[in-house]
Amino acid sequence: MNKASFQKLKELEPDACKTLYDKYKVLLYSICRRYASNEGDAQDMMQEGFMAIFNSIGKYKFQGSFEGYIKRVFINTVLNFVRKNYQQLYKTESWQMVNHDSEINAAAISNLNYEELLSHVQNLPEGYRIVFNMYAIDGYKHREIATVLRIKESTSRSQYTRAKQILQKNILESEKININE
Amino acid sequence: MSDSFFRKAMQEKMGEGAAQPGSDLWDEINGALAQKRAANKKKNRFLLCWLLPMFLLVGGSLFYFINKKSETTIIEKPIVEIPNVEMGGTSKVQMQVIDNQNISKGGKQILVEKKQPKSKISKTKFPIKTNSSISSKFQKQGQLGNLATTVTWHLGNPTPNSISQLNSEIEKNNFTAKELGNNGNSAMMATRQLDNFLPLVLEPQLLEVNVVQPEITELKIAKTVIEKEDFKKQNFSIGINYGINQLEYCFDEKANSETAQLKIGYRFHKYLSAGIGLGFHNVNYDFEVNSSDHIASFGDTDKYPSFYKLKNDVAQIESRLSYFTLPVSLNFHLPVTKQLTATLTANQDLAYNQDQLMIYSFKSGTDDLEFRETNSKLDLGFTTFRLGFDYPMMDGLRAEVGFNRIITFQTLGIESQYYHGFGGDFGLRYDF
Repeated sequence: MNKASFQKLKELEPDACKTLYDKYKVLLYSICRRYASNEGDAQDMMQEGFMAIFNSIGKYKFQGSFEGYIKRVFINTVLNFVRKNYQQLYKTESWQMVNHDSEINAAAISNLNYEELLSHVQNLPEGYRIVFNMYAIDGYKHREIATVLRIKESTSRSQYTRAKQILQKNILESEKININE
Repeated sequence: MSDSFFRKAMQEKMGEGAAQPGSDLWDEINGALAQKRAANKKKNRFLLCWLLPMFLLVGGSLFYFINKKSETTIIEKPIVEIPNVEMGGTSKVQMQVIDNQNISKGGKQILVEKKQPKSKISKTKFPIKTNSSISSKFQKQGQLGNLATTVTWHLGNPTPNSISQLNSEIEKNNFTAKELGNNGNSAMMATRQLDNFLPLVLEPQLLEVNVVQPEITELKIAKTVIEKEDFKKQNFSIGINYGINQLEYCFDEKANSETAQLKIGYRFHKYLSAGIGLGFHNVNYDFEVNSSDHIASFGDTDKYPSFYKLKNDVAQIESRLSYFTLPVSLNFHLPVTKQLTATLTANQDLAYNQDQLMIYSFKSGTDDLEFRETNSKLDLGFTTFRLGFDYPMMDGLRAEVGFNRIITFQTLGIESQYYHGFGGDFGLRYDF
C-alpha cells in the first residue's frame, strides 16, 4: 500500500475503495461465514465490516502490515455484530474429560475440503462456534476472548473444549459415512 | 493430536476459502460510501464557508472591544447660550468641557466673559478644547474699538506640565491670570484687552456660540449632558419572525422549508442575551429518483419492508414533514452604528410532534405508495447559526433580518435523513 493509494482511500475515492474491496473480499467473507449463523448475517457482517474499515482508514499509521490492520478492524466489527445480535449462550458448564479415543488426527482434517470443514464449524452451537473461531482459527487467547465477549476465562476454555469435542465427533462420523459409501 | 497441531491444521484449512459474496453487496456498500462522501463534502464546506468566517468575526470583534481605548466625550453644543449683546454690554457664560476621566470628578468650569462695543456682533466664537492642552488664536481684523475678552481655561487633570503650559500661554497672549476656584480645584482666569477687533474670527474648529439673552448677571453652572450609547440592564424582549430555507440532502437534492417563531429573550449583559420560544417548521420536497444512490441514502427503510423490496422501481419521492420546535438561543450583540446592531446567534431548535407523509411513485406504473409516520417525542432537531441585523423603528420596536445556516446532527423523519441548508428570516422585536 503506497501513500498515494492510501490517500485516495482516505478520501473514499470510488476506484480506490473498489480495489480494496476486490482484493480482500474473499478473505474477509470467509471470516463472516465462520461467525455467521446464516448467509444473511454473513452479508450484513461484510457490509458493516467494510464500512468500519473505510471509516477507520485514516487511523492506520503504517505500523505493521495493512492486511493485519484491516483484518483486526474487520474481526472487531464482526464480534460487535455477534455481541449485539446473537443471544448469549455462554453457560458455565462443568468441564468434561475429552474422550481421547475419539480424537481426530491431522489426516482427517486435511481429507476434508474447505466447504465441508466450514459446514462442520457452522453447525456448531452459536456460543461454541464463536469461541472456537476466535481461539482455534483467529488466534485469540482465552483471556482476550473473555474480555471481548464479556464472559469468564473458564467459560471460554470450557466452550472451546466442548466445541472441539462436537467438531471431532461430527468429523469422525462423516469420515465413517464416507468410508461406508 | 495436540491442541496446537489441531489449531494449526484448522487455520491452514480455513485459509483455503474461495467463496465470494453476492454481487449486490458492493452496491450497498458503495451507496453507503456515497452518502458518507457527500456528508464529508458538506462538513468541509460548512467549516470553510461558515464556521471560519464566523469565528474570525467573533474573535475580531472581541479583540476590538477588549482593546478599544476610552474615547473622550465631547459636548457638541454649549449648554448655555450667550445673548446678543449691545455694544458696551457684558455677558457671561459658563461652559463645561469635560473629558471622560473627569466626569466623576465634576470637572472644571470655563468662564467666558466678553465685553463688546456698541456695534452688534451677532456671532462670537470661543475656543473649546477637549484636552488639557491650551491654545487659542485670535485674529485681528478691522476696527472695532476696545473689546475685552475674558477666557477661562479648563484643566482636566492639572499637572505641573499643564499648569506651566497655561502660564506660558497666558504670558504670550498678554492675559492676566486670576484664580476662579471651583469644585475644590483651581482654575485660571485670564483677561485680555483686545484692540481693533472686528469681527472676532477664530479657527474653524472653534465652537460657535449663539447669543440669545441680554445681560446675564448671574453665573449659572451648565449641566453636563453627555450622550452615551448604552443598553438597559435586565432588558426583556419579545419577538416574532418568519424564515425561508433551502435544505440540501445527502445526494444534493434540495428541499424547501419554512419556519415561524415566537421568542422571548433576556439581555443579561451588554453584549449577550438568551432566548427561548415556540415555533413551527415545515419541510417539503419532491425528488425524481434517478440512481441507486438516492435509494441507498435513505437510511432506515427497514421500517417498511414492503418499500425495501420495491426500491429499485421507485421513480419519484414526495415528502411533507412538519413539526413544532422549541428554539433555545444564545445571542452576541455587536453595535455597528448608534442604531444598527449585528447579532450572532447559536440556536438549537428542539423538535417535537413530527408528522411526515411520504408518497412514492413507481416506474412500472404501480399505484403510488404512501407512508405516514408521527413521532411525539422531543428530538434534538436542528442547529442554526445566524447572523442578524436589527434597526430601531419606534420606541422599543426593532426590525430584524437574518441569514442562517441550518445543520442537523441527528436524523429526522421517516427517511432518517441528515440535511443542511441556508436560509433567511425577517421579523420584529420589542425590547422592554
